[in-house]
Amino acid sequence: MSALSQETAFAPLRGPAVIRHRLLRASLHNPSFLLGLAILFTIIGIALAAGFLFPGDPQDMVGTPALWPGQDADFLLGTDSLGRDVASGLAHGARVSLLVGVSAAALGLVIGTLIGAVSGYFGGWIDTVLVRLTELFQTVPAFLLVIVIVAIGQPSAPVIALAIGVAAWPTVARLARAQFRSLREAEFVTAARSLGYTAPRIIFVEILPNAMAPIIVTASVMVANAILTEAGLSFLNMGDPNLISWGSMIGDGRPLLRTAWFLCALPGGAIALTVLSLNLVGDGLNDVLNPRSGLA
Amino acid sequence: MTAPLLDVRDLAIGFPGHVVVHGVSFHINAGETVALVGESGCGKSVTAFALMRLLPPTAAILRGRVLFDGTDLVTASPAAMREVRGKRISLIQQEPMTSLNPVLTVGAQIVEVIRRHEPVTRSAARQRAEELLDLVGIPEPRRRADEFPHQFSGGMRQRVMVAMAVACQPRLIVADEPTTALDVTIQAQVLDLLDGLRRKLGMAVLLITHDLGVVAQWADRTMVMYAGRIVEQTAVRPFFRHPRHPYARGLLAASVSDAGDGHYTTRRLREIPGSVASAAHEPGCPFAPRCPEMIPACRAAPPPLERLADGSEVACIISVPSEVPHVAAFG
Amino acid sequence: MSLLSVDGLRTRYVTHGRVVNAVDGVSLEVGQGETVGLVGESGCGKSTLGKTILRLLTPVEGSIRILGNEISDLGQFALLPFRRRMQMVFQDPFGSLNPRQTVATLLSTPLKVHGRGNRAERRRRVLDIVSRVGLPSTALDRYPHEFSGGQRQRIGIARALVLQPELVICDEPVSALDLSIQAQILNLLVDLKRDLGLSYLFISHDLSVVRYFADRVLVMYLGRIVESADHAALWREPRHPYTRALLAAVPRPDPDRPRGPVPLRGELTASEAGGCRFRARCPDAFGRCATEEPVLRKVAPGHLAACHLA
Repeated sequence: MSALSQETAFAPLRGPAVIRHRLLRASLHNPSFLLGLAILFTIIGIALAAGFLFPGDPQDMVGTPALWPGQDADFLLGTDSLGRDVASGLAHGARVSLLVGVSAAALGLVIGTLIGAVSGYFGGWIDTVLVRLTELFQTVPAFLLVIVIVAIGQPSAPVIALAIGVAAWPTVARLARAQFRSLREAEFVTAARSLGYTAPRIIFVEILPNAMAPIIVTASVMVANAILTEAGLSFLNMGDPNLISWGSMIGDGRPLLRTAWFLCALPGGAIALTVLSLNLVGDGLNDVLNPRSGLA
Repeated sequence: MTAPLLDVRDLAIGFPGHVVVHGVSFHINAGETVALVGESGCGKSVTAFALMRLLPPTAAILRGRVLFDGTDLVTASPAAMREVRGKRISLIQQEPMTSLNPVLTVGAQIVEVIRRHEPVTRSAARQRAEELLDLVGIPEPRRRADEFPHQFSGGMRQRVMVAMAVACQPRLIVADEPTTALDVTIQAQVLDLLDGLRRKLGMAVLLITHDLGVVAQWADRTMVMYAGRIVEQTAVRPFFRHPRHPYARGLLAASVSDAGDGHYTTRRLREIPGSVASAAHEPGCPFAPRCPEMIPACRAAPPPLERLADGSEVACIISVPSEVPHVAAFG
Repeated sequence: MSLLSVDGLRTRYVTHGRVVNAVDGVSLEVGQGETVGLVGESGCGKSTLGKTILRLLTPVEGSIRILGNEISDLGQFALLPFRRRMQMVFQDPFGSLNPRQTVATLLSTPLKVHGRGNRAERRRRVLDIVSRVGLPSTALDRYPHEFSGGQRQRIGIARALVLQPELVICDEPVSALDLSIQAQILNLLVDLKRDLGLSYLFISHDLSVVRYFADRVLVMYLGRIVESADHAALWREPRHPYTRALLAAVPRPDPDRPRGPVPLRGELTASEAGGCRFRARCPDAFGRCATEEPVLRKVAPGHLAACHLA
């Protein structure tokens, strides 16, 4: 037997490829992915350092109102109609946007993956019921649903995140369902069943790691959408009144659009940049994780 | 002596980073069936596709010439190649369901091939398509020409593929594992069909297969490939009687169908130990790591394909042309 | 008592509103230490039969007994102790292993799920089975894509054996492998049978492999067993026309023994109800074949055939 063991000592098939390393190598060759990551990390960095860079409450009225960027050395990006520091608002707003965006997306992912997985794996009446439920949520316009939920609860950041998450899960559910439907026919799943593995084990331990790729790609887009939704809510003054967010800054700057348009442009640009970076990261992840993309 | 129909000289094919086919040379004469035998990763399919310049964009022909009826296909223009494919060289692949367009009727697909290469009217082409379906043994050809691929069984679909392949009476058919996906009872019918048409229409066939039974029953000559090189090339009878290359001997010895009356209770199958992966970094003969007759000189350089007195070729420095049955080498 | 006893098994599929009995009244037995070969072409139901026996599918009729215990109607939870005793080796070495799990995880999870031993014992058991199938212990930390087809099949075999089953159903275990690797794997299966006292139900479309590997052979056609004999008798004296056609169709690797005609008409089609289901293709069909379905009956000692003319 030992001679046989030696002879079956294997040579790696395609270079020293372990899945992680392949990911790293592929990402380094993708300039737009790297750009997106760079922008995202910068924004995250600013959000994390907001308390340090701009101590104090961004809602404090600290300066002369409607100062232009560069007019006053203390307020590099100017002040708004109430004399609040725009730069401080942007930095603290980044926190709000990112926190709400990420938690809403996370909630949507968890709910959507769960429902999609159960629906796709079991099929039958469970699938029928859950698909109808998904369709129900999808036919309601997402933004209106969010507004309704926020109106029922209080307009605070956690509730907003919850509302956005609840409106966002159907997309993930459809994706997860498709993945699970196809993977449940895979031979390694049949093997798992023949070994007596329980359904939860098969769903979460066997299939889910193989189903994650498109879901991860969707995650970045979901964060972007959540940020946009939150900004829209805040713009309409339905956001958290105790927090400054990019959306609320745009809303507050609207009356001064003709004279101090930077009050809308700067937070608007921040949103656009964040969404762009998330999309670039999402595309990059898709190229890397999609086995058919040719980068494998 | 007439020039061969297909004359391949020192053909090398590579993907970025590694060479898959290391300079192979072989020929096919008009009207004969040559079997190309080998296991996964040996490069047989890549070689076949290279002949028709159907390689994927990442692959490249590194050097060599493919002389077909006097023209070098390696340097031919894309327009010239389009005239060759389907008309002078045809391809039959393994999986008929994916080779046939599922949204077109079978008749339409055959007509398409005909009209692409010959200046005939639609009705004439349609007539010819029905004749071809009849020729390949599809009952009620007129009615079935208007049916879609999914309405045919696997064997029937492969017959349709044969019909498409012979539609313009090519000189050479490249058949890449044409019956591997078919049941054994259907396999015999399809191969007999191909063989009959070959004789009737005077075509040559390059039959790629891993099934030694198929080689024995339908081929005139056989070539064995291992790790991107041709290691033996002989007429079929001498090949089965006394294969020369140790890999060929090992293949025949390991073949279960060769076990005949043998049973596991009385004898063990003779294995070729190891796997083809061992050839990857081998400086000498690619088969050396697995060869029972390897000597140190084998690992110096890959042995060239040498011609023997009877016209066969072997790439092995110690192969001994003898009548000793292949059993002995791996016993 | 036989290890496996199947009686009158029927498994049904509903596709596009049509009901198809993929397994249509099959009875067979596998004794302890026996290898039973199950041969047939595509669509005959052999894979479905294997999956039904393993209770991956639920039969609509019939009985499946493991050492006398009826399992055809047990729920998934009650089946768990029986699952340990019968396992399957799958055809596709690339699809049958979870690409995201290391070999160690693949092999130790069954032990964990069945509650066999603590971590140290599991590790020992996994190391043992890995060496038995001819792989080095360094294989344990690697992922399936790092192995060749033959090596992956060894991993699949190891996974099937890690729970120490008594019955192993092999569903085309070497069909997707190269010729030279087939010999390695078949030899391995023979060795494991001897060393571990296994019984096999060996499903394959490849007659040559079954002839070499099985003690007894069952020939299946459109959901039923049409012939059953020991390996030598089946080849020496096939009694059913389908068996004869199958044997005639296998190309021999000997150019001096040319192929004979294959005594068959047409292709696999479902015959109309009533009578022998093979009659549409049978060269010897006569009147009675259309009205009366032949029963699998004894035609010689240890030899059964379902044909009016056998």
